[in-house]
Amino acid sequence: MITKLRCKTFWVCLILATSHTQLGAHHANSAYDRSVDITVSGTVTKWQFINPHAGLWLAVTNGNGEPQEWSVEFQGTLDLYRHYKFNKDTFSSGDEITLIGHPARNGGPTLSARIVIFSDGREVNVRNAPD
Amino acid sequence: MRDSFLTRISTVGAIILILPSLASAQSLPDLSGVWQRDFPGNSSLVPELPLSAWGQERFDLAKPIHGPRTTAATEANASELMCLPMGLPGTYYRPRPFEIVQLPDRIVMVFEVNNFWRMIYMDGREFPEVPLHTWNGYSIGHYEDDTLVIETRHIIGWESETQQRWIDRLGHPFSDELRLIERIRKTDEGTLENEVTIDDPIAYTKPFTGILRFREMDYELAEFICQELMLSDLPEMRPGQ
Repeated sequence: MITKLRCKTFWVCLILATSHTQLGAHHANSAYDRSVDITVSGTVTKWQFINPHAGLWLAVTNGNGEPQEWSVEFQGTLDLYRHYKFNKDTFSSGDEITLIGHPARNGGPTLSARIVIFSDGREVNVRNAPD
Repeated sequence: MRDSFLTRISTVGAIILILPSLASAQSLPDLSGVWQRDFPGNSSLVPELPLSAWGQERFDLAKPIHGPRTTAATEANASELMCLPMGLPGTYYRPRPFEIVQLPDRIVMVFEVNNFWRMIYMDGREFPEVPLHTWNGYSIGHYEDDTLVIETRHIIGWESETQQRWIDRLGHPFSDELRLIERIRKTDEGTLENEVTIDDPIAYTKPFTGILRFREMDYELAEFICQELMLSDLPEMRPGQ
């Protein structure tokens, strides 16, 4: 079942357990629940355009009105570059963006990116590359 | 007059001498280009692999991060998880392209992942008397009509539970005794077929053969350094977890 929840900017739509016990899950599909989509909006604080997976960090205000940092996992640099022309300058600190993606199974504030919605409304589906 | 006759004779002679080499050059298949797998990364070479007792025991110890036995990275022991090479034919299973560069005396395969390269010697040499086992092994090759035939030996085989070596991403092991035969040809423009034979008397009860297909990509190779993993702040990317 796909649960796609939209909500106001700067709010995490689906409030997950906030336990920060992170399980290492590089590549393991089991790390993310791919049957579920959640939407997270926030302000970019960091963009690591590196391999094997790029990372994006967002300052988010959660459903309780508390600040929370989210990390977002992307494909590696060349998949992002070849398919969507992403590079090290795609995101800058202070950008306001929305991400739709799969939540971590462990309930941590981390997401596997599927769709990026930029502040100008442009949407990019970033999950086209093979695993 | 006599000079002219001699010139003609020598010209004809030169053409006769050159013709075979031209024909030979023309008949060599052009396999150059950038190629990427056109098969699922979680597949195996054949549906049922003839594992030996040695092979089965090690297969049971494998904890892959793809396929039906996918294991969380905290528990897995796939070498790619640590950005280590996967050897051959395992590297073909990664979702990254490679380029074939054909030179007169050798063929160079450049794998985008980690800038790995592989040299295939085409000058008629034999395998080294004293083997040096390496991740991609030692390869010698020759052409048979439209097919490039490569034999590879001396690939570092399965070592331990934490030093796994697989022929795919599913955990099927190979030993130091692996003899890998590849028969590579173009089946049409844009499609490369590699008939891969695994001959490993330690890990398997008999040799077996499967087909891997690749499609030509319209981009150039770029740099992909997996070890940047060490720089990642993503909680899921902590090496060794």
